[in-house]
Amino acid sequence: MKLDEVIARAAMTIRSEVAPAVMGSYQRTQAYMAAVILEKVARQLLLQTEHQRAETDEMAALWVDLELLTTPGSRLRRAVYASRSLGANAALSELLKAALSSDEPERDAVLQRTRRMMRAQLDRQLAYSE
Amino acid sequence: MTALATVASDRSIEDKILEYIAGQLPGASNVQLEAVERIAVGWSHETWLFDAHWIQDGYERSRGFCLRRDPGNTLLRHMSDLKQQFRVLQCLDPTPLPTPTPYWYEEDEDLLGSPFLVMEKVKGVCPSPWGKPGREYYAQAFDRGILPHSFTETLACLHTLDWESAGLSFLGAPATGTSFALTELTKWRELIELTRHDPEPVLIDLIQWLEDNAPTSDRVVLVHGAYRTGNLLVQNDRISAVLDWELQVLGDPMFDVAYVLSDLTREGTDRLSNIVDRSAFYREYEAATGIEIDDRACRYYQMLYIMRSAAFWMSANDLYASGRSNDLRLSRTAWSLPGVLDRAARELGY
Repeated sequence: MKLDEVIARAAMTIRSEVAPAVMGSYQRTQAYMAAVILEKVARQLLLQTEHQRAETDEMAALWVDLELLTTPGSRLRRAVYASRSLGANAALSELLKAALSSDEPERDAVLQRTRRMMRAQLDRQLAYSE
Repeated sequence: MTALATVASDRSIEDKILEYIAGQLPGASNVQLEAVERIAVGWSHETWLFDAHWIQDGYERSRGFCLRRDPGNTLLRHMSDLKQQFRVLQCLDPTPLPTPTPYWYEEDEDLLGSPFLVMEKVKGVCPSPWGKPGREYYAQAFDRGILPHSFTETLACLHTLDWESAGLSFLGAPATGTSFALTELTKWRELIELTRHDPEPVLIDLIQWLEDNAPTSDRVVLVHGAYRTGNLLVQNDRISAVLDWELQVLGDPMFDVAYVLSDLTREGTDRLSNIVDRSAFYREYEAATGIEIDDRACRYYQMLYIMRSAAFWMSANDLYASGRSNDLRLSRTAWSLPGVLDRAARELGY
């Protein structure tokens, strides 16, 4: 059994066997909450490898696109280079902040492309969190 | 002291509550507590309900109490102190707004381990709008037709309350213009900054939008800050008490109206807060208050609520992850965050 499957099974047991037998409203809610959390973790683990691969590929494509969209020497180009070494969310945050405060001609294009990547990241998170 | 060490057993707390209540009832003998229950409502403080029975002047007497205790480690801890809640309830008690009567506030940590307040246990039920039983309850109440009116009437009562005469000026009235909106924005941004959460780019985008689009407001009312079913006690299809006085401020009435209009406060229905028809709400609220609903301002505040939800979830998860709270409901919020960020992104056009 894979780890995500074990956790999903444990969640089911807590939901069906443990929680209903718990006395006390607060404590029973805690037991059900434990089941909910384990279900989310199991789903996240199941998708983790696929999501990590997609994120790596899409971030690589983002850097290529942003290099094409920005002018050499511009503040936005410098922001692109400075963000490359960061993790995905931190990089997107820095890119967004740079674009929002920019008055350079490529601002809107950089914003649009960055937001497209943010949307993709969000869709992956929604796949296990909903 | 670790979070785990602060969790005393329920039995120990029950004994201490009994000792305290007995001390507050002069001339009472044979004081007993029944139906003592810690309930899973609210995020900021522990809530205990119980009935006290005693003998006084040869007669049996009883009274229901609600005790809220500050465990010092819960959500919004620094924004919502029990002393202020108690003071707000004292101010509201003589007004027509239905609220629990406050009895005692204690700061002495020797009594129950942390500050607490005791107030009236108002008769009524408070079904959660997030579960099937609650949704069914509100659907049936809608069909009976009384509760939807009571919901709107009570909000109108809140917004037409003379807060100065009630003694609520200590809450601090905002300056006119964009002051109220920007103060709220700052409050929630500071909560986000207190967490150790990784940066969320969608949130950065949302905050920029909120800074750029703050509405002006010249009207100042008492704003509850979380007016919805689930925070309202219902008895015989009428609101018997407005609960959860944790986020109240003086400010723009559209802040509460926007929350009522928001889809954050309903589930599986178009009815506002699961209970009231949208057009009826507009009609009855405007007629009762004389305040015209400003859809543009409401849209802004709905975006602010999205940010506030994100701030709640980030703060809540941080409390659990750091070991300052053992409440699993806080941990679960880590998976609620993408949902509110999704709302923000869609509102911002992506």
